[in-house]
Amino acid sequence: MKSIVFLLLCAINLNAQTIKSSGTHFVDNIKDRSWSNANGENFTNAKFKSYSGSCYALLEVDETVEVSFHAFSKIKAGRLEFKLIDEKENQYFYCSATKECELLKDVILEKGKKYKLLFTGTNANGNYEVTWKISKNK
Amino acid sequence: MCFLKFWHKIVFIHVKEFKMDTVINRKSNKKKYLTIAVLAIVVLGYGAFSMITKKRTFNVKKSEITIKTVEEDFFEDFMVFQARVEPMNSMLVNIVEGGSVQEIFVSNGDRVVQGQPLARLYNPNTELNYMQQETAIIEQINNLNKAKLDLRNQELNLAKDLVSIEHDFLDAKNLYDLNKKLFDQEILAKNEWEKTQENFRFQKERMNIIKQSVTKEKQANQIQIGQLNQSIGIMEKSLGILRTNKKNFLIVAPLSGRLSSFEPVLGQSYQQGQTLGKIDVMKGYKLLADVDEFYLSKVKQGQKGAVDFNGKQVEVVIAKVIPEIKSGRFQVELNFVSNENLDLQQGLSFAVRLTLSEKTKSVVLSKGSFNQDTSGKWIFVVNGNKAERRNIEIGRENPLYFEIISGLKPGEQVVTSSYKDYQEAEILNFE
Repeated sequence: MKSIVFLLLCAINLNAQTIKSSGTHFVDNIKDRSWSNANGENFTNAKFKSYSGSCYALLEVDETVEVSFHAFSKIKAGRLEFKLIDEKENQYFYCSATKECELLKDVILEKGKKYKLLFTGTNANGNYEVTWKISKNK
Repeated sequence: MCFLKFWHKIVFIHVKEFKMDTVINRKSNKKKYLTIAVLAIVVLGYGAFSMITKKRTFNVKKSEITIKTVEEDFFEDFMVFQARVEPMNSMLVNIVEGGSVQEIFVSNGDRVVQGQPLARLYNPNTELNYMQQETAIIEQINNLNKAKLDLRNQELNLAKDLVSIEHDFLDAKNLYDLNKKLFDQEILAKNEWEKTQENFRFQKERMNIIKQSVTKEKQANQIQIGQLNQSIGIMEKSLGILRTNKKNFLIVAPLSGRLSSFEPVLGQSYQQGQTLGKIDVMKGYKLLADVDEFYLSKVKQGQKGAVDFNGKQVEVVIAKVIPEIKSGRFQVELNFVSNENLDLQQGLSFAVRLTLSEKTKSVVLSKGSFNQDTSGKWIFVVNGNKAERRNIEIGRENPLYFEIISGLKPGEQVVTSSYKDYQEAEILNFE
């Protein structure tokens, strides 16, 4: 019984933590006529046909937490690189896709830091989607 | 050629002079110097003229520059910007009476109904102040009520007096009527009758005067009582407002909806007028975007755009442009054109592709860095193994193309990379 209560409390506590995301922020103007993207509390995605340039989604946490990232990108032509970096450009994961790239990664996001999910395309035709969820409290 | 002839002439004259068998006078060098000076000026002038008129030429590697072809194509002015989903209507929850947070009844994101308590604030100084004000108002109301009572007592006393006077008058009248009969029958003495008459006159006049006085007094009292009632009414209203204000320490939902941006902390102090949160009315959504100020003149109310939602193109229209620029950006509000019930959520954001102009066939040139160095006024046009500077006029631009108004024809090739290193050049020679 005690363990159930403890698990419930843990779940409630995890639920209370939030990741604030904003974006997509464009570093350069989007020149791709068919560009589309959407962002939510726990995801960012985009579709494009001829994307060259950089854009990013900004992530912040109100408490230090471990976050599970699931990133997926399918590229028909060109190249798309994506990575998670902090303000000091420290890299937490990276993928360079010319066909397909999928990765699962747990990253500790620290309170007070700003993290960027940076996507850089070179004549890229395809899509990307990154989702995240809090896996552990730190 | 002329120069040579001139030279021969000089030499010939000199030879002729040597042949003559005459005394040679010492010759002045003036002419010689003058000739040399003229020659020098001519040579220098020619050099300077050549330098000025000669076109400045730079040698560049073809691999280091970008060459693009001018095309005739459909030009469509569009832009892409990010917009976030916001409820169509929302209302701020403001602090009416400042204080520190004593109790929190709901959490951010909760659905609340109108009038539901959200938090309670505590401010002992203001509460004491309210109590003092309340006491003072109640005291004033009591004083006014007392004044009203005094007036009514005064009126009652007058009425009592009037009854007494009327009674005296009736006594005098009865006596008058009786004594009149007695006097007519010559039973009553004349002096007694005169006394009765005088008394009756006195009582009658007295009663009339008192009656008039009472009527006037009553009227004045009515006015005064009315004024007192008015004052009491105002004070009671003030008391009501004061009592309502006392309730302002309890923050309630101004309308039904979802509570957002609600992050009070127990014990934290809030000033009057500060915003504690926001109630989002869950009836319809709009899109809100912060757009770069560069586009301020291009973005207009009524322009249409599209967003991709769940793989479907959804049409949106600009409902409002707020031209106030903050941190280089201005705000744009967009509405969904279709009434279709989209499963939107606050916090989502989309890329909005906004069409700024209809498709028109134009002479277009792919964008490049050259524009930063030339301000779009000139460009290097490729001619064989070199490129020559030419004046052009650029019209509209979109993220892909410049629209060329004049100076270039479709099919011509131009250098579109940066001109930073050869801004002064007239001709670029390709290596």
